[in-house]
Amino acid sequence: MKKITVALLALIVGLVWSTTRLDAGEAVYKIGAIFAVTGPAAWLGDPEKKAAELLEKKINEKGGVNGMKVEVIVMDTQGDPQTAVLKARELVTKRGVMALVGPSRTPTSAAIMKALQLDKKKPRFKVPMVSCAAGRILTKPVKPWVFTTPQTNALAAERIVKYLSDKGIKRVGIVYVSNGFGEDGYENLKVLAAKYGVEIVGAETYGGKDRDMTAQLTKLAAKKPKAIINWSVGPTSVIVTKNFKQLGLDKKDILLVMTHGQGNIKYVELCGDAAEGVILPAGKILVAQELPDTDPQKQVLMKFKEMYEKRYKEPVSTFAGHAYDALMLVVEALEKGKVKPGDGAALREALESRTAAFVGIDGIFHYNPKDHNGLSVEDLVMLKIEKGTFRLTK
Amino acid sequence: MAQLVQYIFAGLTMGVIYALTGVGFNLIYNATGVINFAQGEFVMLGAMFLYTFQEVLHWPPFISLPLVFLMGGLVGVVFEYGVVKPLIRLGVITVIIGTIGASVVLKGGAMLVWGKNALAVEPLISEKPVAFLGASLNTQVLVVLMVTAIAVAIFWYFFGFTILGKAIQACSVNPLAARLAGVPVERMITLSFCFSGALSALAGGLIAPITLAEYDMGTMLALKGFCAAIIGGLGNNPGAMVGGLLLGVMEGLSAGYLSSGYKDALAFLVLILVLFWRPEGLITRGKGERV
Repeated sequence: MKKITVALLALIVGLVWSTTRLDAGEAVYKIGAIFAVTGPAAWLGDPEKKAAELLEKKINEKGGVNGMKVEVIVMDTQGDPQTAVLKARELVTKRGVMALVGPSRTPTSAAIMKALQLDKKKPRFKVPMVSCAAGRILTKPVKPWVFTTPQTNALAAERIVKYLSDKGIKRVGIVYVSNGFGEDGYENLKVLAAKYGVEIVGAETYGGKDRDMTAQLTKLAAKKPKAIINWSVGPTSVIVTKNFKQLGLDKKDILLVMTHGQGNIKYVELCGDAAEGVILPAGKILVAQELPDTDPQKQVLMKFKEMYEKRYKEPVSTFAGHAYDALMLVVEALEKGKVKPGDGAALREALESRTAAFVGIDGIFHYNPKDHNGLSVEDLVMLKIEKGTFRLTK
Repeated sequence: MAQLVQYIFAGLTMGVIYALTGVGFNLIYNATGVINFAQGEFVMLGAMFLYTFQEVLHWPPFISLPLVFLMGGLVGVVFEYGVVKPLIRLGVITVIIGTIGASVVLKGGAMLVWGKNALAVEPLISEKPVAFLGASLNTQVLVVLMVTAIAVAIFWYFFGFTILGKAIQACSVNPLAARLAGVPVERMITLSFCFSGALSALAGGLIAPITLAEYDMGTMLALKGFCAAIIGGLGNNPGAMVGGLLLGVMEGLSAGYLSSGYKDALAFLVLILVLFWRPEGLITRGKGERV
């Protein structure tokens, strides 16, 4: 009996010792990747998760970072803010990650930011988050521990207005969906149009579930704009495109302009012929092969595109790019800042000050204490839909 | 002028769909006294069926559209046997709650089968816009109007001039007297569900090429269809047709001349006003009272 007790005790002590050793050893960089893998935003989260897993493998095959392995722990927010907070807490407190990559959407990112106090200078958990969401509340004003990778609404709006202004188009109409996304787009356009000397002749709204926008488009067209900008995502953008064609507005010398939200081949497929000639701003990944060889991003883009498409047998998307940038920025910071495993505070410093001019998928990042998005209007290109594919347009 | 015509046609397109859905509400209401909250899901299923027949199986439109109609009828019958019959002895309210449950199940089922993404359906005939009084019309809109006109003509003949149609009407006016006169009431109720499902599915199939097919498209259409039925007077089929068209045109005009933001609000405002001042509906025939 005694022997057994002693043996058991030894076993327990041994076990405890070995696990503490593992924890204390920390010879790996633990990074939490948290995406909307399932649920209504799965079209965002799925490619992001795939990109993160692929990169983890590639990084470790090359010998890891600073000679240590990288462990990416992927979790699913289901696109839901409460689930996102639960998963983020688990990653930070139980799994001991030193950084969060993701989540996919603005509401989930904002929920985690509040729960972990990442908007405070000295949060309870010193874990920087590099989000794949674009909402302005994440970066304006700058939140010390939050960084983002996608091009923002404001950048996309500026790219559009700049393009139109360069083309000599000075009269535009706007249709937008009456929710946060649409209104944010409209507000941005209003400010930028004034800056670039473009006149907004009218603005109309529609509901997210509306199925016919011919009335709104007719009303706008009567004011003789040279371009109509639509700001929405999902089926409504497809219906606007179809209605626009149906009304024959393309033949009346009006340009239809969409947002970066339509930078997805699904949109083109759903519209069919109606999408021909539509103009939209987007990241360069969609037209990587068309870029001139002098483009500083071309090599990075082509390498990632080939790697992703070879592994998953599906076309690479901008969303996979957001996750690439988030994870690779963290890796870059770890390397450049010689950050030790588990030191989130040093990682945050390095992200902010040591990653300057990092060449990524969404653009060339210039993170600094005043800007945690770091992209500029030059990182977006204007695309035109021709014969069912995206083509670069000048 | 061209703008006015454009607004009216924008309204008519949706109006026809509201009208068909509204008639679907009426058929079931007349047969059982139940407001069927799954009516919008019948419309959604119609759109999904058309997608399956046309885009997955690649059948031509003149086969797939009638098939959508038949499948809709089948859905109606299954719905009656699965949801309404087992609950009807517990009272109308229980059945109504049952239909809410059924609508959630149908929506969730459709999400699992057809996925969450919107699906594109090829137009039934070429998509070239047609000029009409300066307005530009989608040919699909003309198809919608034409098929609906044919369906309405057939139903009008059926209910007005055939024994079977009159028997269904008799059952809705007075089931007891109909039974005494030898009408198999149960079977007539099943037929009503069949027609209700078929018409709603047809509406879904017609609208799918214009608006895309999506698993959650039914809820809003059902609300508008219900409005149409109320405006026309619940249970009154010609009333629902007029109510639907009126509602659609009003939406189109308000989006054009007022503000597009108030479109839905206006529709429901009219619903409330009608319920206040003419609860029997704007279009009423005679002064008969249902007992």
